[in-house]
Amino acid sequence: MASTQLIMFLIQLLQYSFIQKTFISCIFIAITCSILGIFLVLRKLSLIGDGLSHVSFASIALGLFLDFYPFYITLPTVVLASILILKISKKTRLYGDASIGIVSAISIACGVILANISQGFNNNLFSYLFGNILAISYNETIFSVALSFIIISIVSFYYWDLFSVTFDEDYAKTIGIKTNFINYLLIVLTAVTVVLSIKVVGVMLVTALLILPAVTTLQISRRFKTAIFSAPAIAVSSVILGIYYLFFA
Amino acid sequence: METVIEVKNLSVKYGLVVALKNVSFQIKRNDFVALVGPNDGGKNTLAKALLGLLPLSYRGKIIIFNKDIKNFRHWYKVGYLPQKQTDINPLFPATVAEIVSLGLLSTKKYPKRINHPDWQKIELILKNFAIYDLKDKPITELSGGEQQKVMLARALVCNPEILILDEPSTALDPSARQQFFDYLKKLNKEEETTIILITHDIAYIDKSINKLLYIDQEVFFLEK
Repeated sequence: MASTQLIMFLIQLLQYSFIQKTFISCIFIAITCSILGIFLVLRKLSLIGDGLSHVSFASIALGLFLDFYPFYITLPTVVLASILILKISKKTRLYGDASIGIVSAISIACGVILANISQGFNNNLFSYLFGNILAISYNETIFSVALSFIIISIVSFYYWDLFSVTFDEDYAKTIGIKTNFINYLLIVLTAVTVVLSIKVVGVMLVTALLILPAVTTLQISRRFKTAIFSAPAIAVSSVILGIYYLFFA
Repeated sequence: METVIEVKNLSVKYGLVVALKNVSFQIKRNDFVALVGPNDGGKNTLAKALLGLLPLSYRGKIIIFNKDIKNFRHWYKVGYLPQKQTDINPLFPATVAEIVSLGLLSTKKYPKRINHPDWQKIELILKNFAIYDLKDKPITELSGGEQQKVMLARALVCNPEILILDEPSTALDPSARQQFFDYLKKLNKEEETTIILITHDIAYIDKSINKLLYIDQEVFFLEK
């Protein structure tokens, strides 16, 4: 009964074009985040989403400060920050969480400084902190769908390499896998995903979309392929329920 | 017999600490070599060197199947059993069959796919190790001894010509240990696999080995 009611409600909502854009973007971003989340959680890089979203906060503040569309500054900055996190881990032999902490703290400090020395854009910045799913543009919807297809294709192409490096990086090296390339690939894909997710869930909650579906599926999956397929299912269900409650709460 | 591995004047430093100093030796096809020595004497560094895992800053040469290790690409010829089964992430959702399939990746070209004949190979090696019934069980639910067998199956599924084992018996009880070393002896004798074994359990294999490398920064080489 409840599920019929939910379906009827969704059909009604989908007649509005802004809801269509919201729905499509959210579903595709949820799929992308949850697939990447599996690799990140298993590699103890769960907080990378948090760190990169803090970098996004600083670059959005910079974009607004310079009166520039934030996306154009945020995307390259976050990708560079993700590479920096890996470089710091390698050069200093720090664990990933420590290098994420370094980049994250510096970024949030820069963001706050920029927000303070400027006036008049704080409300705008606030909308990026928590996202605004009803204000997703047509272009952002196209980006989300395209990104999902790209990421799913890349993960499918490098599936066994990603699996191997995630399970045991040293062993992966001994069978000739270019582990450095796989590490950079994973982290750059995460960076791009984080930037596109900010409009949907905001800087504060990007990590939730990356981690929660992955953590949930890892509690119940017995094989890797099952985890890869069930995480997006959990993420998409959560997003649909979230949108449902958004209108009923 | 053909030389499969040749190490010439290999020196490795980690910062100011010397791990290996001017190490030179040769390993021939079908050798059964034991690498022994004190902890921190350089055994693991040497194993890493033979697996191409060293940073590029080492001095000396490692030649494997007549190729400098920096240009060596045929990693399917080298099987590796790491020591640290205890490091498996308890959340990792992978079945025994999935883990063993990783051993076939070195034979694959992009896009890498594990096909039907590969799954048959995997099933065959699982049967050889008497762990076929565990095929669909998550690796994290196995005992230390069972995990060890899975990792050995992974190392051997692509029929390597050299097998490098890093203290493989640490997770095994005495009877499983004897069985395991008997299997290695059989592999060396019947399949002519070259075996390089880092171990403290020299008593179990002293009759089977034909070379002993004692490593304490430098290498002391003993051939039977």
